[in-house]
Amino acid sequence: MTSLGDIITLLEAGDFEAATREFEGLASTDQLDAVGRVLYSVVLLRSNRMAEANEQIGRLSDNELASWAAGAVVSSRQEEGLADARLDPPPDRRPEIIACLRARDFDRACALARHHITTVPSENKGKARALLARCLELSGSYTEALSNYALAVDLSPPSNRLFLRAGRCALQCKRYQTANSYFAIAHHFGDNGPATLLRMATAEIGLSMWARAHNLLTSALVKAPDKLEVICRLAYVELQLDRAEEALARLNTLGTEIENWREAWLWRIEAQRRCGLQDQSFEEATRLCDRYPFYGPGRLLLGDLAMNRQDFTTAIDCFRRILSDESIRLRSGMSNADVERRLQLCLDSLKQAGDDSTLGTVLPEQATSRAIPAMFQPKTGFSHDAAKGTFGSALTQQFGVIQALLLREVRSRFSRNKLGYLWAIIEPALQVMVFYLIFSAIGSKGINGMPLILFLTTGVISFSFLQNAYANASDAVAANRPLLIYPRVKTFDVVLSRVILQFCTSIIVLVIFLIGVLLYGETYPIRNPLEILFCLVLLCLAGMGMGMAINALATMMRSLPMIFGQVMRILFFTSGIFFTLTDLPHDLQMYLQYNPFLHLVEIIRDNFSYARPPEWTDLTYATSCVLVLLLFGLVSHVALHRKILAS
Amino acid sequence: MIHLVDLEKSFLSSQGRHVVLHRTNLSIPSDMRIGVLGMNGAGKSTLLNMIAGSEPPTAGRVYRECRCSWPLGFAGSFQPNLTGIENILFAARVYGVDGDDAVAFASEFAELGEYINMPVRTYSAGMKARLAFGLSLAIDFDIYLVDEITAVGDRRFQEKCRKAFAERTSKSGLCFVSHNEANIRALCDIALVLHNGYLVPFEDLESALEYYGSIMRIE
Repeated sequence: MTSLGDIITLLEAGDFEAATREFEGLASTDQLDAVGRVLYSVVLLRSNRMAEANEQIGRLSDNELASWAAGAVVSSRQEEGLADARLDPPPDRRPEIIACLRARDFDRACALARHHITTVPSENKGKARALLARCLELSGSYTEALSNYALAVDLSPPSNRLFLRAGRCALQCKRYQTANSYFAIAHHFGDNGPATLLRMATAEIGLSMWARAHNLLTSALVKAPDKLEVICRLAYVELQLDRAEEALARLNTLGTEIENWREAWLWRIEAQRRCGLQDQSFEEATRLCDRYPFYGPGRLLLGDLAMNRQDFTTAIDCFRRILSDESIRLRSGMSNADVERRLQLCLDSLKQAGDDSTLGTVLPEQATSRAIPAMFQPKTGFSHDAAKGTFGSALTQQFGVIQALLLREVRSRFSRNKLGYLWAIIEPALQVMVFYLIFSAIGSKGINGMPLILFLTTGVISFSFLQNAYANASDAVAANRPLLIYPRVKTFDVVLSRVILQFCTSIIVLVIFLIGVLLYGETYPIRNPLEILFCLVLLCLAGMGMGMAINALATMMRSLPMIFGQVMRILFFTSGIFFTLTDLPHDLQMYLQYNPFLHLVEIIRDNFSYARPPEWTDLTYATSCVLVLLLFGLVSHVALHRKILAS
Repeated sequence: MIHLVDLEKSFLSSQGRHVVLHRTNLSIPSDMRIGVLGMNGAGKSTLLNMIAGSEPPTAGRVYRECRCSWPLGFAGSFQPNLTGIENILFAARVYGVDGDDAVAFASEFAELGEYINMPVRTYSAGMKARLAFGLSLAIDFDIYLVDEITAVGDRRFQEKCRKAFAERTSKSGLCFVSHNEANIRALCDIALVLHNGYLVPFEDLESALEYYGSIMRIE
């Protein structure tokens, strides 16, 4: 069977036809890898067989194609500019690039090499490409380096060094198959040094071809009998082939030198374990973990060995360390879940054995029995109220908190959206307008001798005191949660300041609307301003009580605010905003007059009316209802205070 | 002095009652730099919040004979929609301090530049921490309660905080809570260890660190 190396020899000799035949043979049995395909398509292109070349290119993966195409574009551009180049040959940048590489300035070297490729004449393109690939390899971009090596192989006379480097890159990219073929070419060209053999073996190990790796390593060992890496890798392969005795014998020849290479040391311990040397392997594993405390596989092996010896304390220590320390990484293919399973197994075995002294109960016992140092001895005789200060200072402090919260609310309302306060007017204005249009359409000019617009305005605005106070109180805590970190700011302060601000806003809105009604052309008296204010405060307090209660109870029942939203809607339609009680049928009156807000709205409205106030309104009843609501709100807020804070 | 009297804290979870702090009686001097060591989840932040008064204990009380700061920590005491300045002014009003002085000091210390006029929600964690530090130092407290926060920010800022606290130790104390032994060693004169719900005081820093080390080995 011919290999890629044979074909390249043919190409070197200029025997295109023979090479093409060989390629055809390989392609028909599908034995070409990416590099082979690229080479084959180049050969086809040169002999003008475009369709077949196209097919070969089509089989390449996108990445390979992209890098190759990039190279092709570069070279075509270069040919265009060839005339200029001939007239004025560009300076040779190679020495500069190599100097950069020597100085380990890889990024600069890469940039220079990229530029170098575009300027170099076509006969030197291969060398330039190889140089770029070398730069990329050294800077750690192995994938890109690999594709550049592939191009370099295509462009320049084959050299061992090139193939070896390409193979090494492929190893780094974990593309063992590709690496294998590069090494095979290098090997074919007569590079039989132990280093090459070792690399080929690494590729085979990557492909889990243990037997082949073993053969390669054995021949490498013949050539370099003292090479540490060859011996260790060979032992590793033998472990994989279940030939633990051989591996152990091989590793034992290294003596203590092995301790400088933790993987090899781990393999020796593993070999000892497989050979049944339990004590020796445990001892060595302990030493390994002492020397390399953050080496995950070592720690895991020690844990396993300890488990086998029924030494659960050590095993638990190992597994816990692996799980708790971020810097300990396990080998790929091993997950934390595996370790957790082992840990659980150990803990269970310990519990069965009835010995749980390692489970962490020892220390707190010591902790409680320790004497408290004098400095921390609990003192008595301090004044319990010392920190609180006088009533006056407490009041100033409380005032400061409320003031700060009020200003904060004002700020955030303005900053949230430009409408801000305008919205406080637009919303009730819309409600009044809708009702007004409907009622006028029905043909109503007024209710109970009161002009329609005044009737609706007093109803809608009065009820908005209740509604807005409720809305503000119920989400006050959620909206100010970060500020509750300040120990001086209590949840009640937050609710209170929000409600106060809402009350002030609503009063301003009421005044604006009353002026609006005046401008509209309706006149009205204001009989008892104090009574109006009292009723408005009551509505606000009722809203606050409900808001606090709902916010507190919502910690136990998530959907409560939604359900209560419907209650508010029912209240909106039954609180006499657009009707008076006496307009309704007698049966309905019976039930509706238990609604305290109906009374409050009616009392407020009557203070703006020339007519004699109705007799059914009852301020005492309404006041007591509101006080009960407020009390309920406060009590539930205090009772569920912890939950509100924690929610 | 801060007195912990019969202080207890526990949570109810689906697995039953979880004790964060067993009944504790201690008096903590407020004029020293005190460290509290504890592993992640040991309840250090909860303890600090109780000392500050931001979180109610399950039982018992904390008596403070001094002005304690709020707990400076990752949770942050800033309203995200307000700007840095507005947040400073808020705290200044709450603690009865002159607003202009507080803004001048805190913004100079926090080095936020233009950001001081932007909403706090646009800040990074480090910027928030710097602002919190500057703000707390702008207000005169007898003891500053700090929760791991020095881990935030670059080395230069950490150094600045260390210096600022060192300057204040003559008149103010520090209660610093951390799981990091190196930070405790750098900032504190004396330490307690919080482990499995027990707050264990030590007469010197070294024995506390040694005890903490032995816990780490067992767990």
